[in-house]
Amino acid sequence: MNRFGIYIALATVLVFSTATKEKTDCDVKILKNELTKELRPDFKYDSSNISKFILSSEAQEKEVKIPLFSGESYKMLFNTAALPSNFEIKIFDKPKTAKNRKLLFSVIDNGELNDNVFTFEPKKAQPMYINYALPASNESDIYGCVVFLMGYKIN
Amino acid sequence: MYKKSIKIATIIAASSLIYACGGDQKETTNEEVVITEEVVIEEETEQIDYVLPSPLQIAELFKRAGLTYIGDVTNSPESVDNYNTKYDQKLNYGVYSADMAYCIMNNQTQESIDYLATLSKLSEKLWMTDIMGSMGLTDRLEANVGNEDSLTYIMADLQMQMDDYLDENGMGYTGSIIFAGAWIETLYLGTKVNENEKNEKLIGRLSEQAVILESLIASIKQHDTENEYAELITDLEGLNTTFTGYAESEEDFMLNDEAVKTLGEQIKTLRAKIVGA
Repeated sequence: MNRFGIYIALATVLVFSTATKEKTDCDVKILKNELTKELRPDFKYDSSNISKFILSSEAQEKEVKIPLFSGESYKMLFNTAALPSNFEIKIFDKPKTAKNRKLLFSVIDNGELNDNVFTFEPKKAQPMYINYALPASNESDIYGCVVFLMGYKIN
Repeated sequence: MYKKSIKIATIIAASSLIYACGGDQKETTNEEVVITEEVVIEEETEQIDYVLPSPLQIAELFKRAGLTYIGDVTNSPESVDNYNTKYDQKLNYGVYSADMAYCIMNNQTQESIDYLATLSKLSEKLWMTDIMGSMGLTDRLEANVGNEDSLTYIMADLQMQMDDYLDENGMGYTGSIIFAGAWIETLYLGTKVNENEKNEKLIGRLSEQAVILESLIASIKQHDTENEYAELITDLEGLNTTFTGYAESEEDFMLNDEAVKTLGEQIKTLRAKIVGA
């Protein structure tokens, strides 16, 4: 192969290697297992939700609706270990399209949080809306996820 | 469902070297060839995910509100051989799950084990065998006969295993359909028991199912890209008329006697369609 061919081959390798996505480790099973430990002994597993994100040049939001039954006790858990930093998790009593919604819980990561597992036990059971927010990023091809898991206790 | 599809500008960098023939000096020129495509962002509707509660939680709520045991109202395990389409199998997997929970919570041991066997059979048809096999459920159920608390924890573990399986295999939409079957069966049992003897607490729990119905319909619609469940969606939307007057902000919404009766009739019809009665 002449030198021209060698350089083309090297350039091709360079292009494809830089096209590989970088990801955080979104091993859902491991992330969920860390949360289920937090349920016992008082709460039983009820439901879970996985929200996946890819960083982009635009800010991202996602809403998750959680129905809760009045008079009962719940424990909501989030595992953010696989989420890129600079995220926000908020829980409201109404959807984002509603006016005058009340903020019930929030986690704001500015890159300095040490924990990955966050817990919320609502004082009053009612339908709730989780809002995830990731800011716009100069980075791309980075993706991750947040695992939500909920337990209940019948009173 | 909110999807954002972006066609990304593609940059291809190529290095080329030019050599002068027979000369001592070599010139190198790097040319970058940039090929760009227009960035097109297709805005679709905002995506909301709808988390559905476990059928076990609903069953426990109803039990605590006074759902007593009536024999021979649950779906016969023998009917399992009639369900040959994935549609029927998924819905009736939910139905039988609700029946198993009902029997467990009312200490009907043999019936519970029969329903577990039925679920194992259906899970094979649905290619979900691993869930049932990996947990040694029959042994665990038999070992905890009479201990309702332990049995409900075992059922919660089963729910978690099923959710994990569906997540890992990209089958989240199956979970919504299974839940629909379980939810309809639990409402059927609730309205049946209430018919025997009016129970205000049970009516309260039936009334608050309005919030679940909204999420269930939205969840199925989100995943029903091929209109496979159009009929089920239409039937569920029909139930909405009974919950007229419900608003999320209203804490004390209660169905009146006429609405409870209508709900009972609607659920009975819908359930008969599903189980083939």
